[in-house]
Amino acid sequence: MNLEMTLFTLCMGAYIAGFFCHALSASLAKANLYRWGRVAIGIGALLATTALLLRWKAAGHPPLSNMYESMITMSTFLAWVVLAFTRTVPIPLAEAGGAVLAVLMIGIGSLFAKDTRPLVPALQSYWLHIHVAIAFVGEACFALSFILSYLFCLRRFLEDPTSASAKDFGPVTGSEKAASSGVVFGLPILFLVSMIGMANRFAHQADEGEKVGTLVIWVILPVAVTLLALVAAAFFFRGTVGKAMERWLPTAEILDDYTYRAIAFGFPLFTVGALIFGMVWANKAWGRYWGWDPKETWALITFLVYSIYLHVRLTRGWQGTWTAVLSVIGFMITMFTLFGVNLLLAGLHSYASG
Amino acid sequence: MVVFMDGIPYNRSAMKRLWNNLISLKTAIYLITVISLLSLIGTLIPQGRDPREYLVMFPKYGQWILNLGFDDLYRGYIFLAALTLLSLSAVACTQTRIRLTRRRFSRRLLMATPQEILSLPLSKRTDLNPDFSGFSGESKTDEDGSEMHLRVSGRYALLGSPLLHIGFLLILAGGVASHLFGVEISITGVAGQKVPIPTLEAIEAGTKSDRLRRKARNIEAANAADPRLAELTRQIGELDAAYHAGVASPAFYLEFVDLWMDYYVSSSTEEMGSVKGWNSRVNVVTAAGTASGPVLRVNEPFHYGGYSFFQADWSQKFSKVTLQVEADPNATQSAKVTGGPWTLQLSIGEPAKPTWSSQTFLLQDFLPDFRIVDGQFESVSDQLNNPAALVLAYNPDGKLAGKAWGFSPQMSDLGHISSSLPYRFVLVNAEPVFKSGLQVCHDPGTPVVWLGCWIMMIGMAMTFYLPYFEEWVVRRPNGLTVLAVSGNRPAATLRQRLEALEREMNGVLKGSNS
Repeated sequence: MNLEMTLFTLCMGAYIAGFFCHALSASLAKANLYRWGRVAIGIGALLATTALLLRWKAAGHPPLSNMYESMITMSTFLAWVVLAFTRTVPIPLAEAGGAVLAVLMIGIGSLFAKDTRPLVPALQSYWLHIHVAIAFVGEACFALSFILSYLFCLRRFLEDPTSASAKDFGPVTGSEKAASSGVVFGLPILFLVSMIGMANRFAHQADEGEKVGTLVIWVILPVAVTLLALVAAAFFFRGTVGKAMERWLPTAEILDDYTYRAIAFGFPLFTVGALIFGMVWANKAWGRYWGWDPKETWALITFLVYSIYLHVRLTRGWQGTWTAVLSVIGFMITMFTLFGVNLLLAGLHSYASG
Repeated sequence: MVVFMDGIPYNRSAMKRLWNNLISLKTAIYLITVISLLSLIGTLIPQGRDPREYLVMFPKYGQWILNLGFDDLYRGYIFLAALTLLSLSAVACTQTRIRLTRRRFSRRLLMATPQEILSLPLSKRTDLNPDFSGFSGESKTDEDGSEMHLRVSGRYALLGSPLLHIGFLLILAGGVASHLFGVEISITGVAGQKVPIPTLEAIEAGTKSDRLRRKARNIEAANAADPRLAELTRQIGELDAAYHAGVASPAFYLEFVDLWMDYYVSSSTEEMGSVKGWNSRVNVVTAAGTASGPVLRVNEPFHYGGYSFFQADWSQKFSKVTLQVEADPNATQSAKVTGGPWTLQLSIGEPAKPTWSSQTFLLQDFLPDFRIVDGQFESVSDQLNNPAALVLAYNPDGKLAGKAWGFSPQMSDLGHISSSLPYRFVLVNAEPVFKSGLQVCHDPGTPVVWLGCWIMMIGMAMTFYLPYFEEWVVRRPNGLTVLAVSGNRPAATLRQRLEALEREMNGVLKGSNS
């Protein structure tokens, strides 16, 4: 195992330690554990940043040129974004969620080719660094907004009608309940289905059998077990879980507010990084700023979905479950733009699929 | 009374309804959703293929795809109609937004009413009546006798939203200009070749001809006897003639002077010698003479005469090889030759008669990266990874004597495969002939798009990153004082601001009481 891999393994260990510290700090209400959680995630982010810099030095270009590099960079940005956003307002379960998502990203990234390769002619431009790096910071903010929206939906799903949140956002209506449960249970199922799809894809490729095992043992099984536990707890110990969530989760207002903050910070970065700088680079490399390439088109769809979120929130004053659902949809589209397009749709960005 | 406009009954309320629909956020969101869905469909259905392919790929829906123009969705009437409606909606919304922003920017206090401030979600009522003389300047007394004081910070953030929308509209306008007036063609050339660059009018004619040809193919796929086809064929013919006339008397020529590849030599990476860059040195040849141009590389375009040239494609062919010829030790006794080894230089399709043999040799095929697939030799790339050359030999009477494959020294043991000559051929060298592919573009919409991008970026930064706060102190005639805060920051920040305002007011109170 080389130094970079060692650092990433240690980094994953730190994130997992951070997750447990935050989960315990929320359930036991121990401020010390919360601080340790932040320290652990901070150490993990530092280790990951060091590993990225080492890789940059070895390859001679920033780690932004293929799927593995995209995933590890994105997970590092996510860790920093989570730490920055919760600097003044502790949201332990969001930080725990950020740590889990960062570990999943490194895990899934490690299924792709990890060797450093020289850049193909099309990627030899400083626009690669600017375009992808800025877009990734925006996407990391979207990832945080997704975690917060998920927690918001979980809160609304389990909510006691007499709680403070119910006063802020009104009692949960039937459609809100359906949407919240769709997010709470539907998303892990969707994630599992997509992972099984990926495992199936690897199973049909020569020399990729080992990846199927890794995916099953390290991703599919843990998520499936967590999902089953969540479903069981939600049905059999509904009252207890509801009361615990009331204590563990911040108010719905804070979750909703920070979801907006994350999107409002990430949206301009994504627009500038992914779309505008992407257009500038495309114009320089291909002679046209827009060509309806699948990657471009899906980036546009991502922009449009988040612009709907911002319009309904800022102009219409929408808040609560429906904006949370929009934020979740936005992040799913972001992930499809980042990975689904590379794996499933052919286009000019196909060099990123390796 | 019915009002007529240009002889047509003008229904004011219908126009107002239409305008209201256009500026409604709901309309904009529906349109954004429709455009998102159409864009999504465009990534799932392959674009720009031959109509017959759609009928084969989607036997049930192929004809629908062609009829709806989903085979060229982003240029199709459905997508363009949705985009046009969104643009109109954005124009209407931007106009309303500019009006509101102007009022809010310069006349915020004048517009405000005590009721509006009292209904703000973040407000605090107190029955104290401080001796508060107002913030630095902005205050008024309302009709109901309420004293209203306003302190604004970050006022320029208000300009962000209109700027963002104006930028978006400019990008759309630039996109329309690119769609209507932008042209592009691809050219290819080898070193020493002069390629004509047609006039803009000719390229436009060629582009239009391609679009019409596509339309005609779609119509033909549905009904080969459609009467519209005759007219389309006539128009295509005229446009093609205009294009060919432009090629015959071009705007100028682009001469490919030198083509070469760069390779990585760094030992820090696993892939030694992979391609680093493609280079095309070009000259511009006009009636006035030849002007030496730059070296074109990917990401380094060249601009001349209103056109931009981009290094877009590259291929290489190996037409000249050097072989070492040895006597094959496994040859039959009767055919065995002695002597050697000899050197033989061959070019594809050009027979060569060496002095050391009575036979004439011909290089019939060269595979730079061969594999044996189903017993057949095939090249899997144009890189010189695993070369193979097929050599034919002819007797002096012109009859085929036999054929043999030549391989690289590492693979020379394979020399006996499919060989019917008493020689073993080993490839010593193969000279590539590069072919460079350039994208030639002319797009008058691009500057408008970049202007729109700049304005949009500034607008977004102002909207989302510049904090804007309104701090209100309203003293009602009944002695009630209301403190309120609003702005573009999240509620938690506004709450902190309200608390700070309250502390400040308490300070004012204490000061006035003492």
